[in-house]
Amino acid sequence: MQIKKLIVGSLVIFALGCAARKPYTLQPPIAEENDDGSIAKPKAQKVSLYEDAIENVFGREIDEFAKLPAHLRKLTNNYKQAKNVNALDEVPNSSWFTNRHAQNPMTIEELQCGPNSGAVPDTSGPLTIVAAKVEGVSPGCRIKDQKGEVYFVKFDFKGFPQLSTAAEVISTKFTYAAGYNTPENYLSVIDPKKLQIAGGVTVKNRWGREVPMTMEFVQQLLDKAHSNADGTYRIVASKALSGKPLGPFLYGNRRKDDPNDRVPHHHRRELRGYKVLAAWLNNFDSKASNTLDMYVIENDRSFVRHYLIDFGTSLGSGGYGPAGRSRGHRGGFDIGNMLLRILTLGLWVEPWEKQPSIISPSVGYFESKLFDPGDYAFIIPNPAFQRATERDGFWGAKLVMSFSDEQIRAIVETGEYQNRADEEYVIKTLIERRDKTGRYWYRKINPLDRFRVSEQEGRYTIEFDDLSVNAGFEQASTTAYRYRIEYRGKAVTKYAISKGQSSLPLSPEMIQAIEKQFKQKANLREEDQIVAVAIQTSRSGGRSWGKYVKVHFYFPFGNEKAPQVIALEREN
Amino acid sequence: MSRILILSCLLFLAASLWAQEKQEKDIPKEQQPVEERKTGDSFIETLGGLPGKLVTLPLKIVFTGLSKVASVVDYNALALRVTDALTNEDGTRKVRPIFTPVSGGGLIFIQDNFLREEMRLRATGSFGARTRVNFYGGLRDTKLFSPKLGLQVEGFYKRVPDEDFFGIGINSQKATETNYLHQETNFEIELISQPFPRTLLAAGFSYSDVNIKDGRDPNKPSLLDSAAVFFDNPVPGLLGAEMGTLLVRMYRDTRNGTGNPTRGGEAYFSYEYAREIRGSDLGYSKFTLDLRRYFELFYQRVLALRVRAEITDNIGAREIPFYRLGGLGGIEVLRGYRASRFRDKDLLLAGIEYRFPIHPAVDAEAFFEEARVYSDIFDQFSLKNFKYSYGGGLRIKSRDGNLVAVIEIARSSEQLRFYFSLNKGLRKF
Repeated sequence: MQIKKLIVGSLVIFALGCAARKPYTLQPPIAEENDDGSIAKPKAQKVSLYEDAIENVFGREIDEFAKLPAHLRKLTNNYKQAKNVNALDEVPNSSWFTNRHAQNPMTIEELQCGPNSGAVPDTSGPLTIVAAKVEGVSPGCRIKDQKGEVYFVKFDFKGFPQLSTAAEVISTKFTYAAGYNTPENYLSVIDPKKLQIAGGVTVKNRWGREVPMTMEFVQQLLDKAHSNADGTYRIVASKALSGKPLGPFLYGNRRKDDPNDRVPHHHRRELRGYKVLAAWLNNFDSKASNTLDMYVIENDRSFVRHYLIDFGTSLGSGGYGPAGRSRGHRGGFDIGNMLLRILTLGLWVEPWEKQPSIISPSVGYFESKLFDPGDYAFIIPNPAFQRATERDGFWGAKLVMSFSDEQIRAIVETGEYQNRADEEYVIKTLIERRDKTGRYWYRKINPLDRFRVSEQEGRYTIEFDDLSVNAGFEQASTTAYRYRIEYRGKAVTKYAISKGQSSLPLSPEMIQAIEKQFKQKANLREEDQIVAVAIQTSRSGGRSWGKYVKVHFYFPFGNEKAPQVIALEREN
Repeated sequence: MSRILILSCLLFLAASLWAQEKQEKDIPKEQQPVEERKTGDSFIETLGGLPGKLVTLPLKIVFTGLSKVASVVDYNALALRVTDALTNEDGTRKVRPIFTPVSGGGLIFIQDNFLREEMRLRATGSFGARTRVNFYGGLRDTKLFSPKLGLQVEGFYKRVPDEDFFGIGINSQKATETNYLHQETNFEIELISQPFPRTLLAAGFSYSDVNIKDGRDPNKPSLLDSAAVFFDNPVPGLLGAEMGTLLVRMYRDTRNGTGNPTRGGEAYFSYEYAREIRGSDLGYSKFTLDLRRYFELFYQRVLALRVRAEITDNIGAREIPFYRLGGLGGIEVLRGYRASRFRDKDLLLAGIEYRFPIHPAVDAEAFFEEARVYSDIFDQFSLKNFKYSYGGGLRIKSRDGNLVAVIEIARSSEQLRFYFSLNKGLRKF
């Protein structure tokens, strides 16, 4: 009995220890992660697909199963949160991520342009094959155009025009606009007659041996590709990234020989939150092999920039043709599902099994009715995705929800589907999947965002955006907010209620309560003037209340400074 | 034990307090520059994870080892090298591994367009436990003489050293199990014709030389030594024989795939007329009918039905060698029993198998089969005394459907049997 008490006591103290928080200080949120310091060139690394799969399907699962603190965290809803977020629960810019469309909306032109700098391959003259393409899953080759620019070239598979090339271009642009580093991908057309092989180019044959590349090899490549009626081929040309390639990055752990790489990748918010974006785009093959680290020189500094590459397995494309119907629903090795099917003798038919195998040759298999943003399965379990918390998911959902219908249409148009109906289908499906994503994650976290504090003639008001109401998922008329003032973790006022509007006026009683707290301080510093407003939201007109979001703001007292939001705390 | 627990808790407590104290000294981590944050696990987390790490260390080592092996295999394209070194680009040459409990493990080699277009060379070699050996070689050209008339020549040598014989008839007893070695050399030449797509007709002659010797299983009585003691009637063909056989065969394959078909079927019919070459003791005629049909019930759930019948007759006063009698038991017929557990002149089998996908590369199956042998199916036909077996298994298929590994468990009133086979279907006529 005593032992039990001791254990329970220890757990309580452990929980308290974890929960203890130092008061915020008056400083702007961290906007940049300084991870671009000059470093010596790290060693290039190779990640074997099978090694990655075995490690993530079995090795890491065993590790996780035996990790007692992780189970304790689950029991106490005290998940390990991302370690690179700032006080506003956002991601500072870094060599991994740049805040783009979700923070500062891009124009239609910018969205359509994406990462492209306008360096369209010049296909008017001879195109010289300089190497075989080995990165990513899709087969292809590396060509140099007349201007001397090098591109990785990928084709559509025979019988599936535009399927993988459109998916590649569209997903690249969404991913770039969301903030990730991606290559420049251009749609183009090549005439096979203009292809020539540079001297000394080798290719790995099917035996894995390096042999000189011949036109026979090129022809074999073209035989598998979809050709246009005039004998030309539609391609996606991915401009070679600047810098020296260092191989893929892992979604778990760090690159140990990169001193700038300080945060374990599975604890990076942008990699955890990428789960939501990847699920939306049906990029089910988001694994290490589809990433690339480049050792770059920028502003006289040499450092590693981290890229997401190869979007050939997204939307309705499966890399080697249409995506399978089970993609997104079942992982590559879902032993629980296999056992369930055996136990039910196959009489249980999963909804995706009832779907047609393709929508059309150009769309492949891409749908929104069965899409479940909370239960999306990637082929290989991704360590960052698996550690994603609701806060990470909410952050990822904000990226997805930042694209309006019009913006989605604009980006999909850059995929240049030949059939208008295919284009409309992809647009409609992306919109439906986006809304499902938003609905799901905005229910998991109190979706109040972009807080502002205003002061007019001594009356303070907290203003914000209710993302669910703004997206049309919830009605403003049935939404209510209750809020109270907290100081140093203690409530100092009763709850006040505001209905139907995204602003919370601080009542005179609240102001008095705050001033009372301040007056109790013998030597009032600026840091002591940060108070919190805990807000809960009700979608049922006040009958039940959801999770809180706490806004910590600087409340000027006795000086001329303006009030300002310092930090956000979201209940997970 | 309780001291250890108390100590652990105290340690836990101290570490928590230490962690809490440490945190108090810092500003909130969200306000620290990212590059200055501590991002690794805390001391308490590391400590808490230690017992689990120790417990799972052996498994972790196994899987780390597996990943490393996979990495080496993948990086050096070892699997591709092995397969592709033996398989040419246009798919006219195939080499696949095979395994069945009867033949053992080995390779099957198929070369299309051998010597001339339309000519197929097939060769297999497999080896198993107790000097089990199987060699097969065959040439088939369906258009050698004319667009509809060709030739097939094939031969095999097999040495199966631990075959079982329990006596003749449906009531043969398990207690009378004896063991023998079956050695056979066979040569066949047939005219073949493909009158319709997917249908093959053959008529020809075969020569076989069978030797029966003492089996190599030391735990069972030898058939040669015990036949007179165990069985009331003499066992025909006990010494083996050289026989000549006239053959007529028909095979029709309408399956939509060779690995795990979901529609279509297979029909096999044969008639053999065989006589002993250097003697007048043995001679028989045999009809065989084997029908299989596959129905897709719903969403790739497949029902496979099978009926097999064999009718064997004496030619005049000649006897039927016991090894040519219809046999029940083993991986092909009545899986819950040992191979050829029941033998007699005539045989009737009906089986039903239900296959359903559990993974894109794996189907599960459940089966039930009933069968019996008769000394004369027309005189003694009865639905009584049928033997049955049931079970289930997994069928693992490759992307192209060629590589099919089957793992099965079958149960009968006598025993539980396990089977593993690889590319069994590639050895079809």
